[in-house]
Amino acid sequence: MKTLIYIGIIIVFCGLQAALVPLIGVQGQVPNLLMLLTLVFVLDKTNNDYLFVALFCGLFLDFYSGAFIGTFSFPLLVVSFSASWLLKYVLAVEINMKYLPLILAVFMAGFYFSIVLFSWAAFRLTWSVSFLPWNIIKEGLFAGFIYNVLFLYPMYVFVGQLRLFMDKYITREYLAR
Amino acid sequence: MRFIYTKAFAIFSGCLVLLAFLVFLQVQGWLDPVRNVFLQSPRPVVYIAKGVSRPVKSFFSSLFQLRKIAEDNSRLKTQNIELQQKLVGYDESKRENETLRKELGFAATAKYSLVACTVISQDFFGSLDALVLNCGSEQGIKEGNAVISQGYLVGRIVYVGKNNSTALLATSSQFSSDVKLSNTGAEAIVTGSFGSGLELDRLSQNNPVEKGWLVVTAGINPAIPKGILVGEVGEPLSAENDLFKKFTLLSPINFSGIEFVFVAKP
Repeated sequence: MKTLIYIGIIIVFCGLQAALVPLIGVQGQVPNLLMLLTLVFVLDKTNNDYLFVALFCGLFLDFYSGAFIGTFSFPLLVVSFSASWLLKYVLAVEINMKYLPLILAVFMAGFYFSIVLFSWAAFRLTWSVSFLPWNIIKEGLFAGFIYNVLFLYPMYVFVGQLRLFMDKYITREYLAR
Repeated sequence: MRFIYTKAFAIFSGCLVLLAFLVFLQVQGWLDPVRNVFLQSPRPVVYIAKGVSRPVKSFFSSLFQLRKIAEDNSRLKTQNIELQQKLVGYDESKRENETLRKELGFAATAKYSLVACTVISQDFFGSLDALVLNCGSEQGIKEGNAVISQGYLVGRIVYVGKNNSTALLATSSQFSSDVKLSNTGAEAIVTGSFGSGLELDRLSQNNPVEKGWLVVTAGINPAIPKGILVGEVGEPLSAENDLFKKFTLLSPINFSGIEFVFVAKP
């Protein structure tokens, strides 16, 4: 049941990313709702749902952007796993809202760098006919960070409410069976 | 290194293996069923969201562009009258051309057929300059085919699936195509300019060119038919002592708002 709810939410956010987000683009910069959704799930140290969310969000990003498969899903998986490991075992800080922009900045830097690396590798291996140029890091990272941070807090609140709902109605119902 | 014995690492490894399998399927060309599922599943959400946003967008864009709309209207009326006058002359030339062709037994210029496609996704990440279309090899589309919108070249097909395909936009820095000036027939190359526009390059210094001249595809690449409008010559970007002339190329197409396109099959 939880899996179906996650898939449904990812599909809704993918639809919004395809239909509504391009309308609010500024100079080619758009917020990445699927990346933000994955990041917020990474912040939850109590379970590993972020891996499932990262895989599916990455696959939707791959197919909907026309990129070679793995261009977004592989970096999203690796960066999510690394971020989760860092937050759990290295930094061991209590996540609250004031750390979110810093976490987003580091997450986005790792994500963008990995995307460019993977797309370049796929191009060199002749799997893909195009690749993301390195200047998306230079031109897109800072502007993209500012735009994404505006949507990060609403996403954090939304996922928080979703978890409360699932703990209250889904998990208990499942356990009651 | 104890983290490799954790449940999270096991799930992570499983995801990587699954991803590697999907990459293998993509390289072999067997990923179409999975691709179709992922592309079609958010379509109801996209349809509803576009249905809600389209009238709102139309209202606000009309409001902000009233003055520009009035200026464009006046300019287009004048241009329309000039073009009608030119059309009379062209009709006469066309009749003469057909008569001469019949007399000399020339074969008619090959025409191309158009396949109408809907844009499923565009500018998803804001950087890839690619369109995902809802038509593929079943509709006869092949890699390299030209993508046209409102009569102008907007891109080229770079990947073809069974029922969907990916097109590289002409504004992408990785796009290039052979073109020629419609007035003189001088050949050049059009390239994308990092998602922001088009550039006309490799035009010989001996060839005259003026602002406003139309540029069309040259037809050297067999996959892209000749005679498709690309844009108008804009401002010069090169100096007089450069090896080739370089100009901006102005296209009337809003590359960030394309919803329907045609794919030209030669």
